Amino acid sequence: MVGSSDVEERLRTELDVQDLKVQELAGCGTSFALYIVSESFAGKRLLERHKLVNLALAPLMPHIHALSIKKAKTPEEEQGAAEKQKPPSQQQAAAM
Amino acid sequence: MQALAAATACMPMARLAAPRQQQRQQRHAPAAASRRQQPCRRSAARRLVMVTAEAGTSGAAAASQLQAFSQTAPQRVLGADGKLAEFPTTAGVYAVYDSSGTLHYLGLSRKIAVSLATHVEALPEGLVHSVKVLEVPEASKEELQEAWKAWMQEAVAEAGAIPPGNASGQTLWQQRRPRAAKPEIRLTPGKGVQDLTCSVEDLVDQVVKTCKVVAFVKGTRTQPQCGFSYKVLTILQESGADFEVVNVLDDVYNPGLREAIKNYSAWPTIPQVFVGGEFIGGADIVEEMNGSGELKTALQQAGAVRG
Repeated sequence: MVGSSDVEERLRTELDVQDLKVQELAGCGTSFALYIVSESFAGKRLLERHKLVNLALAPLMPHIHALSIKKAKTPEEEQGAAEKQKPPSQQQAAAM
Repeated sequence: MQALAAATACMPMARLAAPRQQQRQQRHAPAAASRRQQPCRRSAARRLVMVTAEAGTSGAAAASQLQAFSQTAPQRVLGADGKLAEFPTTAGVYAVYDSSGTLHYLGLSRKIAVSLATHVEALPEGLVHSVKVLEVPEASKEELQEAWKAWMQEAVAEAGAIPPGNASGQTLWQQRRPRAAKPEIRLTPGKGVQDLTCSVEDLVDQVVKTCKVVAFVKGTRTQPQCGFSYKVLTILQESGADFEVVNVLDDVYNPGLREAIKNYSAWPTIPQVFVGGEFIGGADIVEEMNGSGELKTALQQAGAVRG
């Protein structure tokens, strides 16, 4: 039986993780949704990033029913996304 | 777009009958009164020009969009090969005639070619024989409706009656024949792995290299048995791509495929999508690529959708 703590441990061990959220999904079998921010993704396109995650979790994959990688971003990309979500007034204040 | 077409096609009779009333008035009105009616037509045309001009359409394009109904020659819908002739995939208005030259329906569409193909499939043979087309690319909803109204007025004036397909309550031209789902690809004749002269992975490779787009999923095109497979199939279907499906759960015709495909792509999960012979990812990646527009680009490059 694989739990979210097992997944988290593997990811933190194998990847240079800055932020991580492992969400267990309801449904048949053991399923997880992953939200990962890691420097390991720098310079890599989406497919390569997902492959990195799959490789990190390879020992656990036989016991995982479904895996959904919802986010695979670098810290810079995550910061940029956060800035975009700020209200215009806060963005202007940050720019000053 | 079908809803819009239905709404506008089934306009109240009183509104659509207006041109006929104007005709009767003109026939019985003095010459001076008849001349006074003319500015209305020019005003309508001018409004259409203003609308298109405000939308940023060039003068040449505006002139093209105002092509008169009576000056547009009908063209055959089907070619000599029995296939749909070349029609614009852009927005516009179209008028459909049967084989005797009778006007049956005046429609508007975001994709003229798609609408005509739908009519050909759904309606009796001979009813969709030829068509007049007014292409109005990048038209807004209002501009499209205005173009349709302008052509309807001319069509009614020419024929003396509303096209039967546009009559109030008429739904014949909104019908859509259910299209038979494309069958899934089967890797083997169904005799089992022991009879194969090559490996399942070799068969996978042949499929991947041969098909523009192929999705290896759990289930079939119409009955996916996994949420992620359903997601991928929905995205591909909505993209309009010509794609193939292989059911990894079909142990009769695709024995051992569920593991073979994982080895082939070095990807641990299903569904898996290949475009142009290359693995592009699973459900999450396909979804993200769809959102960013990358999927459309990949499909166009593979020739799976029109660019």
